[in-house]
Amino acid sequence: MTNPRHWSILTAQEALQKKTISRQELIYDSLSAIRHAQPKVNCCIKVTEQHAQSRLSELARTSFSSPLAGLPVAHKDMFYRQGAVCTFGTAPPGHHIPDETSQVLRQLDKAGSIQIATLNMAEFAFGATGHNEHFGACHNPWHLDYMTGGSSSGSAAAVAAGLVVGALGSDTGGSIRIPAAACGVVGLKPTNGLVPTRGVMPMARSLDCVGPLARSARDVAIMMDCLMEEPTTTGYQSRLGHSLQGLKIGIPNNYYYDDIDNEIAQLMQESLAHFERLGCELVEVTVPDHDILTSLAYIVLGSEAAAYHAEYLEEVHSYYGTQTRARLLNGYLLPASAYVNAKQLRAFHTKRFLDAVYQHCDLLHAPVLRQPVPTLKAVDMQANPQMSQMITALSHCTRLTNYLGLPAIAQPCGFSRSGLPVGLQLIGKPFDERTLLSAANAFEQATNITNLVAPF
Amino acid sequence: MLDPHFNNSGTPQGAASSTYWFQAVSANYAHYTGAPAHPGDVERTAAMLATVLHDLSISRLRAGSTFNHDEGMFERLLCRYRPTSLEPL
Repeated sequence: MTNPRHWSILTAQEALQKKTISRQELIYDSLSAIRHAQPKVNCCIKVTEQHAQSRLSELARTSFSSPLAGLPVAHKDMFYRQGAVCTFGTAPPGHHIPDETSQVLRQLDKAGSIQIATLNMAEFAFGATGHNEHFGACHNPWHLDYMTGGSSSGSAAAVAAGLVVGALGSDTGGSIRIPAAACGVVGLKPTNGLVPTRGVMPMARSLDCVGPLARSARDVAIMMDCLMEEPTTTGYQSRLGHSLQGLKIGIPNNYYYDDIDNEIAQLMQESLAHFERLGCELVEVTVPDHDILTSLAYIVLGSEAAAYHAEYLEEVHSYYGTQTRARLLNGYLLPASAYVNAKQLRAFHTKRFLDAVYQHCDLLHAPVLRQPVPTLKAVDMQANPQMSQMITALSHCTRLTNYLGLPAIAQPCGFSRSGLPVGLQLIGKPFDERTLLSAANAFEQATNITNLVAPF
Repeated sequence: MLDPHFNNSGTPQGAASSTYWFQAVSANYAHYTGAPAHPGDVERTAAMLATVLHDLSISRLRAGSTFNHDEGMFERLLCRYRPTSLEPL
């Protein structure tokens, strides 16, 4: 029997069906792996063994045919589970005991998955590096001195380390895609509004998206099918394995490659050559309004986050971590008129983007990070004067997508000289997650860069 | 807070000076945030406001007469792309 840490969702399900391993053994193996990893990776906030045991008993009494039945998952600690403390990655005064379970957790429960832990995250999802002043930094399982990225730091690290088959994250400006890229896993930021955010801690409701992280495009597609409240006429796995012949991939000739590191640029070129060999047509596109979209996204994010935190922040602002506090407080000085205008201008800019880009191609190809994954030390800036610049630089290639509402997938495409993963990003038309998953799956098959497990 | 990028008819006035923003934020920080300013807070917030409000004025200029104040426009635009295959069975 191979190591269950290396199993994809389908391999694990096959092993359960063939009784190579029992559900109980699989869950206990994951619990043991997570305990072993925790002192090094620090990806967990709480191991939920009791919950896992009660789920095992529950599953024993029912028959499940879902591909996730009996498989270990864990999620960023911002998804509500009735009666269980949700820390949001902050200090105890900010913890929340919800009276309902989030819709996405209910969907994954319904599919038979077993949550074995709540995962580390940037405090209130405010952070792109994986640092957390309350629970400690999450470490990249590929090299413990390096950042995982954030804010879904624990989700990416736990999946990369093979502790769970999949995890949920949230993405308001890159919080699924940045850690997915830094940790060598696949992360999908769906179209805004596609996956329900009810029962999920908000950061900025207009920009927030919930999405899955897993070790392959197929596993992400399986999780997406489970996350949908109603089965759809065509599931997210429907186009996996289809030919990419004739698919048009846009290569941005502005913005996304600004100041890119040579090593990353080289890997982007190689990934494009793979897509070309798969039958894709590469076309150059010019991205409109890139010079101002970051600011518009910031106005919406800053204003909505300030509104959500207003009451709590006023009472206990001294409990907030230095960086979270500094970033949140900015939002209170944004004029209300700016927020309203930034929201109203969203349709104008999205239409311009769709017309300029997707008139020429089916999806846009770009890096996730323009530099190799930095060390935790290099990006440990707390609230010092370079902090805003560092965060803006890390989210340069991801932030626009949330303002425009578009779906995007991050997947590994190689490794840097320092041995850290490098990720590419495919950005699609609204609700075209199937094309993203199909292209990502074909790339994995062609390159064999899939189901990577970090040897921490 | 006073937004000096627009006159009463909403015409962009160009970027406000960094001195303006530093003074405005400095005078209002504690009042608006309910928290005392830590070192660097005022400078960072002033720089942020100068940048984002300047970019917002450019955005409004680009949108020009097509600037649509309809609140639901963005959601309707996305929905135009929603395939029938996403409909529940």
